[in-house]
Amino acid sequence: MTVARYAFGLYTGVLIAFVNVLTCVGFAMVNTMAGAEAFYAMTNTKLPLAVCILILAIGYEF
Amino acid sequence: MYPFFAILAGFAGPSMQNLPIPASGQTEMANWMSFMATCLGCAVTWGPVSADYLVYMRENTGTVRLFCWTYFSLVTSQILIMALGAALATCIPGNDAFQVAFNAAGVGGLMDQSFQGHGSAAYGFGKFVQLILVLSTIAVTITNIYSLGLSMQNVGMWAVKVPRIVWTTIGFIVFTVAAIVGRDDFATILENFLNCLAYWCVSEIPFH
Repeated sequence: MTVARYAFGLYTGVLIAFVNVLTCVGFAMVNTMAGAEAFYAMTNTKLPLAVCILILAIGYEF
Repeated sequence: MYPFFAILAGFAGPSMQNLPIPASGQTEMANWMSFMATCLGCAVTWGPVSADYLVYMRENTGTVRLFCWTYFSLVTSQILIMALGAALATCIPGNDAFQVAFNAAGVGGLMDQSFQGHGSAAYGFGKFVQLILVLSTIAVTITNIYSLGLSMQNVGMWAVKVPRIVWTTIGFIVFTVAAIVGRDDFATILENFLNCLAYWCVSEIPFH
């Protein structure tokens, strides 16, 4: 995101970098939810969806 | 990952249908345009974060070569997989088993249902394919969280002083909580989120 400073300047670049942080969080959320739905179906809907999300998210973290 | 997507497409193939295109009109055109904007939002988001990964190319790489690599990767990963998703969705109309599976577990239910009706051995193999596809979403999450740390450190010098692992851990907590809270409205969240992205990313991309 340092490239954005070339076009926008320092302070607007900071704003864009922060919006990009929100984008990344949102995309990670959407990906995890999509994976969790597949995981949920894989366990024949026996494992709650919230637990599936937690397992996938923690699986990423380690 | 492509072999596993191909296996899924092969098992789901017999259930796919050639649905008639609805009559064209102003409403259909508007729906088509908004759906295109949603798809664009998915693809164009890689623009801001691609700068984090293209630094792994040599600095004297030709622009044509750079363009070809980026274009080839985006086309194979976005268009083929989106087409597979659309093809899976054509299994639903008039097919009660797929409708029940979709209502129970969304897209994952469709994947699970695709492997049914081919014998128990094929169903067991289907579980393995599903496990691989589930694990592949973790790989996609990693790129997002890595870019999150780099972007956050661009916000200011105070953010650089904090180790990047702290930022990724904060991001991990935020997205996990958000995903658990919104777990029942996946389709709505995905559509609205992608529309927001299409709106701001397209305006920003030309400056890169």
